[in-house]
Amino acid sequence: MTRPRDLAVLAGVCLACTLAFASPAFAQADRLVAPPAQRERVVPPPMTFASAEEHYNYLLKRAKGGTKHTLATLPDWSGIWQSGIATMSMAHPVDAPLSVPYRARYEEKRRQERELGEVYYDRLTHCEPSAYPRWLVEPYHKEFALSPHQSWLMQEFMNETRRVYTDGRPHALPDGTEWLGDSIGFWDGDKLVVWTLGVRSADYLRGYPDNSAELQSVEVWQRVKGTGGRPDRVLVQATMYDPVGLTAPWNVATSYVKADYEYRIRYWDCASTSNDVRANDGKTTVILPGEEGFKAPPTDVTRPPAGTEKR
Amino acid sequence: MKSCISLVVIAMAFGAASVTPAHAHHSFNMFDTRPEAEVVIEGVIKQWSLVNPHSWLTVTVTNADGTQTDWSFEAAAIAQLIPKGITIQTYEPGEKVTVVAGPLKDGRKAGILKFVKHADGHYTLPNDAGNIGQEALDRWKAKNSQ
Repeated sequence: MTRPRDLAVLAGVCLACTLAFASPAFAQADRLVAPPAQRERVVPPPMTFASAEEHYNYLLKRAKGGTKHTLATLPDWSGIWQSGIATMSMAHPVDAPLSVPYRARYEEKRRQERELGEVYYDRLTHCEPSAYPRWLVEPYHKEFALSPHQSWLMQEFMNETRRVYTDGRPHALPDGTEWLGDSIGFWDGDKLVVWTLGVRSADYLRGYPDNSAELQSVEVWQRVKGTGGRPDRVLVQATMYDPVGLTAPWNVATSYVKADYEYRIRYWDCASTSNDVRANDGKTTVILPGEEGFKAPPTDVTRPPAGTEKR
Repeated sequence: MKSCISLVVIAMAFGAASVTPAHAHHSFNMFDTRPEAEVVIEGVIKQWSLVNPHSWLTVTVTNADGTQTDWSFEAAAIAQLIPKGITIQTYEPGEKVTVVAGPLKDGRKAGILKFVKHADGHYTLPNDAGNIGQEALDRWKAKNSQ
C-alpha cells in the first residue's frame, strides 16, 4: 500500500487556461477547439485492437511487464499544468466513428449551437464532475503526483483525482459506474500506460459527443520536450473503445503545458457557490441576488490591507 | 432613459460578428454576447465574489430619481483569474467603475462581464467566455480614440 510520503507531489502553475481563453480561435462562432497549430497530432496505436484489454495487454507484453521504477527514477512531471483544451486533437466536426444514436445526439448539440451559439445546457452546471473522458480536456489546471505503485492525476475542477494503480493489481469494478472509472497501469520507461473502465455515461466535452458507460480506454502518457517553438508538455495519446457510442476505436490526443505563474490548487466548491441553473425551457439561466434560491456568496473573505501583496 | 447610470446599447461599427463563449462550467446561452448588444454600466462596486465556478461583481448604480439599482456581472473562475493577476483586492467595494457586459437576454439586471474600467483609467478583464473581454476592450479603445 502506498503511503502519502511515497507520493512525489508535483507543484507549479499553468498558463494554458489563460492561453485557451485568450486565443481568438475560442472566440469564433460555435467551436470549442484548439487552434490548429496547437493541436496535438494523433499517433495511432501500433495496430488495431478489438478492445482496450487486448490493447493494454499488448503494450504490457511489449514492455516485458513494465518498468519497475523507484521514486528516484520516475520522470519529473512536477508543477501545475495547463488544461488539455488548448491542445486537444478533437475538433468539430469530430472524426469519431459514432454509432447511429450517438451521431444523432451529437448532431442535436450542433443544432443547438447553430440556434443559440451554445448548447442549451451543460450537465456541469448543476455541479457534476467533468468525469472521464472529459477530464482529459476540461479547461482547468492539472497536477500529477507520481509514485512507483500508484499515481494521482489531479484536476482542480471539482477536485477530481484519477488514481492509477501501477503495482500489478487488477481492475476492481465499482458497484455501478464511477465518474472517473477504475484505472490500472504500468510504466514503460518514461511512459505511463493506463487502462480505464467503469465510467459513467457522460460526454467528451460540452457540445461534443457523448460516451456510454461501456467506454474503456488505453492512454499513453509521456513528458515530451518542446520542439519547433512548442513548449515542454505532458502528452497523452488515447484510444477510446466504446461498443455503444462508437463503431470502431477512436484515437485522440491532448497535452498539458507547464504553467509559468505562481498558483496553488485549492478546494473547488460548486454546490454552495453556483447560481447557474436549468430553466423550464431546458436552457441555461442564472438566479440573481434577491431571487428565490439564490446562494449568497461567502462573506468571510480575507482582504489584505490595501497596498500589500497577497501572494 | 435619463439617469446617472449610463446604459448604452453599443452598436459597434465593426463588431457585427457573433461572438460565442468559449468554455466554463455552463453554457452561456442566456447572455447576449454580441457586440451590438453590449451594455455600459457606470456605478459603484457593491461586492466582489471571487469564487469557483464563477465569480460575480455587483455594481450599484444611482438612477436620476435617486433610486439605486444593482447589476450583477458573471466573471470567470478563480482558476482563470489568479493567473491573470486578478485577486480579491482588484475590486474594492466603494470604487467607481464602468463595466461593459453582454446582458441577460431576459432583461434582468445582469450580464456576462467583458471588462472593467477603473476610476484611475486602467482596465481589468475578469471575463469568462473566451476572448470577449479583450475584443470588447479593443473595440472600446478604438472607438474612444477617434
